[in-house]
Amino acid sequence: MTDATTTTRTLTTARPVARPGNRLLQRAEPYLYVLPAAIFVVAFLLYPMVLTVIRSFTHDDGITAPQFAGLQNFTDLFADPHFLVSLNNTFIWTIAAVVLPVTLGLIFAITLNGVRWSGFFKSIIYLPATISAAAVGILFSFIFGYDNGALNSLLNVFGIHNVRWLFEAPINSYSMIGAYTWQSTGLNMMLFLVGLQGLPQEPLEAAKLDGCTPFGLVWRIIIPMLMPYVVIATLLAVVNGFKVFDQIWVMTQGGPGRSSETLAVTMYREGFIMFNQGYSAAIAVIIALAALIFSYFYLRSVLDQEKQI
Amino acid sequence: MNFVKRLALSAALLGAMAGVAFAQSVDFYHDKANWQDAFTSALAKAPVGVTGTPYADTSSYQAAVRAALKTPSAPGMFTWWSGYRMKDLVDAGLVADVSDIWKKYVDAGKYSASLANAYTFDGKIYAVPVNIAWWVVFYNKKVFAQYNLTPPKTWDDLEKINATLKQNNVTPFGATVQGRWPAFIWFEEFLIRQDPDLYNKLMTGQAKYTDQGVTDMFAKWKEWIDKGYFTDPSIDFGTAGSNAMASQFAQGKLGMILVGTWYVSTLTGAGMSADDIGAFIMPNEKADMKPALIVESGPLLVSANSAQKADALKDADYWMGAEAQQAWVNAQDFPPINVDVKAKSALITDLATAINGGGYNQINRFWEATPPDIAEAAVDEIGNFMVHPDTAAQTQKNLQALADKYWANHKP
Repeated sequence: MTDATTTTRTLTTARPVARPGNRLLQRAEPYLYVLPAAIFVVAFLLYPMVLTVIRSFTHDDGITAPQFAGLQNFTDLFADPHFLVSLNNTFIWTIAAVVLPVTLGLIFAITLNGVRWSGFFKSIIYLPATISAAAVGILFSFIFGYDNGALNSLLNVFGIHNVRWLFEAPINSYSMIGAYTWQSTGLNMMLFLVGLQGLPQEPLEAAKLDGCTPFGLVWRIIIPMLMPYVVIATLLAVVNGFKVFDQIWVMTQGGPGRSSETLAVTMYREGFIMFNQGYSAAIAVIIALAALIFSYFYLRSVLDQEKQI
Repeated sequence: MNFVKRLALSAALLGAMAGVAFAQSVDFYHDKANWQDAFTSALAKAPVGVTGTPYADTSSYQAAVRAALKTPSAPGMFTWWSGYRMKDLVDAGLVADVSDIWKKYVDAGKYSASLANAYTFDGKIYAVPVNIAWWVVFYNKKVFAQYNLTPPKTWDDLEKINATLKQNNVTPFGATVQGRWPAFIWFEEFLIRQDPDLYNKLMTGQAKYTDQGVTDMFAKWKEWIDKGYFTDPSIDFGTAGSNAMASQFAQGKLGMILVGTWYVSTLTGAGMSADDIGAFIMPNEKADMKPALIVESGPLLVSANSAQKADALKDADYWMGAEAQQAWVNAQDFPPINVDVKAKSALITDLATAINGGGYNQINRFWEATPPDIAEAAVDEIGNFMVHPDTAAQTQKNLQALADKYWANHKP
């Protein structure tokens, strides 16, 4: 009894009395850890987003006071033929950004997975992903150049005349998509390689024992099991295709005659060349809405996958 | 005692550091990165030290300056574009009146008062000149000598030169849409060679892009394109780094380039000897017209709201003086604008003699002569014509639609 009392007393005295202020601090502690990041998100993401949405309902030249314009920027957009060309190009870019880099990334990943010396080829294919999009634009401008470009010089050897790779629509968009594919295939390949290495071996071995052909193995076993990764890669590609800007700006500036503009290029042009910043904000809102819709599906896919794990 | 000594020492150290941190300096923003060294040398002895901040990209430069101008942290000085391009800054009260500086130099006979016209709004002057450029034709002297050609006196002479060069597999003229803005070069040139009055009216909304004179101009342009008198319109011009046009000119594959006089340093940078570069002013298509040439006037402005405004005005005054101008001309080989300054090269000296004594009608460049809302969109339309010369009629309609949209809400 005496021992127990002593122990209790010792424990009681060793433990500091919880004052109301301390309790508040304890409750606030987790929020304090998050606070710096939250401040950054609010200041550099949410606040500009809200400002952009407000600005999209104004006429604003960046110098004089903005004037409320209601929905006029949005109605003007859909009556603007250049915006419709831009929307169409964005659609082409988005489809191509999904079909080419994702498909090629999947093919390379399946082909190179577990193959001897594959590390070398994986590095070669991944390397372009480490270069900035602007640098890729400059590099491919040399390749696609009309007079001194590497591609036309090669074609000249076979007696083929120079082609305007960057100055004739729609070939200019396709050329730039080619450069984009070169850069972004590696990242998709790495994503699929991670997926392949995490696949359970039993179904694969069972299929082989049952006499499944290599093509059947890929088509009926591997791809279905990789589907969560395919979905993630696809949705990421859609969002990236929607936002593509720097490479186009470096290679054609959206020209000639605005023929290769995408929504992001049109937004930049209106905002920082024409200084129609309200109109530019309206385009930004449309891009953001589209990206938001795809991001929602992307996040839902990721979260579902985590639940399965 | 020791404590007092340490305190005094710390105070002295802090004072010295503050002196360094708050030393007087004027921020000078510009988008001419390759001129930075020349600016530095010309302003080396400015009364208040100048810190140059070059921007590589013109559109991000404009956005940064426009955003800063409303605040006290605006750069003390910055380069811009004259005419309509600086009008909105003047209207918004963002740039300082420098009329007094001009008065000092004009009264002393050092500058021609007409030079300030491109910077004058409602009787006040809002900029000092960075440079004046004449838009002339540079030709490769070796190529001309090889085919026994001399600079043309008439339009027919020019047509003969084009035909001769083309026959000998030399492309007569460079023309490009690279970088967007160069598309206006030949638009304005063909137009002033046919009808300078129409050009001036067009710039201020008093004529239409669908007028017969503009149709005739496009027809002449298309004729030259069809004859192969121009490079492919995709050729690099140096606006994005590489410069195939200057290289071809240096190699003798291209005979002539129509451009501002500031291009001389680009040509010499491409490996061309200055002695091999000749220059002439384009003849008019109609012989009875007054000789004319396009003039570009680049301004340097002082921010009205900048905390450095007073110091910047002192430096702007120094900039117009002979010492800074001579250093500037020596570094850049620009035409001198202060009468006490001598041209660096024989090429510029000869041009100055010809232009000053030739009674030339000096016409504002398209980029500054018409509002940027029209000019910026127009270069895309004109560029499309250069790539697809069969679209002249549609180009004219599109240009007029741009003009209609702007002039409906603005006075000429």
